[in-house]
Amino acid sequence: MPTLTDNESSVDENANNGPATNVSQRRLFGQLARWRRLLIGLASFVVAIAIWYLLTDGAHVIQPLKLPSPVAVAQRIQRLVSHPYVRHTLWGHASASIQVVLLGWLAGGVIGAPAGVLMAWSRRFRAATYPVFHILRPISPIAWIPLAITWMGIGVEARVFIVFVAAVVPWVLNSMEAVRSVDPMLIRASRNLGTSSLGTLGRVVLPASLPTLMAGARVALGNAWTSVIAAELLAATSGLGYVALTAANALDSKTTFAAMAVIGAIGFVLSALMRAVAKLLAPWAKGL
Amino acid sequence: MPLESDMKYQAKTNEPDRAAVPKLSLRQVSKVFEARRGSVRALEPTDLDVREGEFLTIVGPSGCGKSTMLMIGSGLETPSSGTIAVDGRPAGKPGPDRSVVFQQFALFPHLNVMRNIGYGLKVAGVKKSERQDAVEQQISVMGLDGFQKAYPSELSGGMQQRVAIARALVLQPSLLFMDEPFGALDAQTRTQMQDEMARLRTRMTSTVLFVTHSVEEAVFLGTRIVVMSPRPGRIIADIPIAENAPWKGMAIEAAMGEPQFNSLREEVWNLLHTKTE
Amino acid sequence: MGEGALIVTTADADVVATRTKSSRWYKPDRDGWFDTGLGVTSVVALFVVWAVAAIITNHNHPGLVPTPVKVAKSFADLSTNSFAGHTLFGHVLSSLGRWGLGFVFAIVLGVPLGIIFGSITLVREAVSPIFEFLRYIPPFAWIPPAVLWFGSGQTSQALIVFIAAFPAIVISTQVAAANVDPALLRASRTLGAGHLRRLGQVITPIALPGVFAGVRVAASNGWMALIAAELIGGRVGVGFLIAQGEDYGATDIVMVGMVAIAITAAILDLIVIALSKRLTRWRKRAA
Repeated sequence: MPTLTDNESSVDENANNGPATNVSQRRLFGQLARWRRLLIGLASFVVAIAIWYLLTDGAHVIQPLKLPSPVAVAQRIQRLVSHPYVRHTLWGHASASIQVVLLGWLAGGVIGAPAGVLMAWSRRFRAATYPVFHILRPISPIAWIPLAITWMGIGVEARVFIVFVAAVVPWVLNSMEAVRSVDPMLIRASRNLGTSSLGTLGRVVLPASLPTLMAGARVALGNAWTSVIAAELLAATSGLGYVALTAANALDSKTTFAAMAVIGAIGFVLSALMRAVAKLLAPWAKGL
Repeated sequence: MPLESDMKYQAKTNEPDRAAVPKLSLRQVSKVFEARRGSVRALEPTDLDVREGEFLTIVGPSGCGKSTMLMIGSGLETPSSGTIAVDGRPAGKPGPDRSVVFQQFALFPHLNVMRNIGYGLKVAGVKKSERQDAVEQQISVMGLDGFQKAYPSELSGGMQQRVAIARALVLQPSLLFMDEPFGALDAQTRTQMQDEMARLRTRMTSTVLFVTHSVEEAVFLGTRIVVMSPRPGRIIADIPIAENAPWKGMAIEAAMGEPQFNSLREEVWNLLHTKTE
Repeated sequence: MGEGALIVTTADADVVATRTKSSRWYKPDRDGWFDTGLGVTSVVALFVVWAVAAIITNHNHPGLVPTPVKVAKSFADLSTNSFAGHTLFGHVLSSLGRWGLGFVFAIVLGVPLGIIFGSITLVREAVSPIFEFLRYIPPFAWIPPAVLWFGSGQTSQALIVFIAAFPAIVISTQVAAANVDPALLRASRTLGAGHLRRLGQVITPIALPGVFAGVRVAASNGWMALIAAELIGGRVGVGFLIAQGEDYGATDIVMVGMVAIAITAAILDLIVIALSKRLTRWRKRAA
């Protein structure tokens, strides 16, 4: 990464070092760089929380109505774990949200991934389906919400549908791109060796396209998580988004921010899980 | 440790005054990089003096630190130890007086050829009309006529490097640093550029430091060859070449048939491939 | 230095031709015409299925699924007559106004911040972690706090647009600035350019394509966030229009609104793309 000072340079790191540094010294210097970044990150995080605390509980610059202190938020989270808020505990609401996300995301994948692969693999299929996809795609999942409510009510089905709409687009696009980006040489080699079209698809194209597919899965999950919150703001009786909005309307800032913190945390966990799974299934891929 | 080389190649005429201050002087310059996996010694403490008007070529294997030395000399890298002096005074920040030509051209993609070449002049505050004149002149010297409004993305590698050289030369630097400038070009373009460089040399007043992989290039273009050992880099030979050596003035293809050229080339090659203790 | 066509030629006509520089979905050959026909047929089929579904459901639930014709009629109607205070166009403009406010602020704040983050390692390392965490909170999740602070009025909606658009802009700008070829920075130093010049004359222009990529995403994120905010508590705008349609059970109006949202989003996208092409004409133009 370029900086305005020249601390780093493009140098062949893999070459042997001179006799002056031994293995343990080298390792120490390497660790130091990584720790430094971690430390700075942690420090800034702590500073941010500290400022938050000072502004609220410390100097009372910000009223608790607008922004509760981190302590209050933490306490509220603790309370919500055992005491129900609008019929469910924190865990109840969280799992409601997560279930909807997973269902919609999986549905998006089950339908979107094969569709995308086929679109890239077969010209006929693409000619037939892509135009329809292209027309429906710009209609954002948010825009679908009122329609979904009218047709399905404020139940789980409506929300899963919204999440599905949000997730299916990246599934399709990335699956398409994943197949398209496979080196044509590989395909040609496989065909030349006598593998059938389907066999090539299964044994060459799919494994080679795995990294991009994983990336698509991750984007789809991100979309899914985003849209479930939106759906819960409008079409729900449970879920973290529902909790947040209900609390906001009741001017209950502590619960609002408690819900937000949990939303962020779950987003983080989902993202980390996706990254771990991707690493597991396609360890050779970079940038995951 | 400089070797005694054949007297034939020693500069006989125009020997510079030995008491004169070297144009560029590196003293005990070394570089250690802190990389993710630990520290890397790119350059062992090295001394190098470059006299005014020299065309110094530096040859060495990959990773021997020659590029690092060049970067330190130009001011783009700060050494881990040692000092750099230009005209006897401590060298300051990098600037147009120590122009650099990079292997990857490093042309500003968002500027056309004219603006690329004129960039240094613009930074220096040269008036537009003067700037344009200087740039136009450089353009005809480098054979870029007609390409003034072209963007780097539209140019071939050879053309881009010409622009890069023009950009450096238009500033009339007293020191010109060239870091494997023809390394990214295909073989034919490279040969062309080598001949062009030799031609340019006769009209340049700059002192040149030229880093290269290629022994032929070094022997063909240089008035002095510095040979470096593999990492950690050290200078193992320092060979002066006469300005009027037999192959100067030839095209490089022709030069390669010249016996003295070849024996010097072989000598350097052997130096590069002997294991030093 | 992009390679030209990479075409896989095999006997099996089904295997798709992969990227060529000028590859389009439909090539003007005999096969291409057939494909176009297929596409048109499936789109038509979509509308037919829709119309049939409308007619069938109209039996038991009149008005639940409006026919395509009805939607078209409503579209025309709303374009000339007011509904819930404005014509369709009036609502869209009102929405665009609030979107524009939040969006412009996001750019004005986000681009310089992103450039600075991307160029100065220390600042980036210090601020990134906070950004990273905030990134996991979806933009819509900021609607409740915005409601808490500002109610459901104009200000809060513009703020929501800002929050939705800002991260995309900062992050993509930062990445673009950080990915500027270090050789270019070295070259500019050797040509005498100081810190400020490097920032403004080298890093910023070269990062611009990447910035625009983020701007595109931010524009669409912001637009969607606005609609969501309007759906929740708006009093004017296309989201509000849809909500009203929903309240009155006028599904055709809901669909008109959906179409209007999609068209506006597409137009905004085209504008951003056109602008980006204009400002980054130096990009690979090689044939």
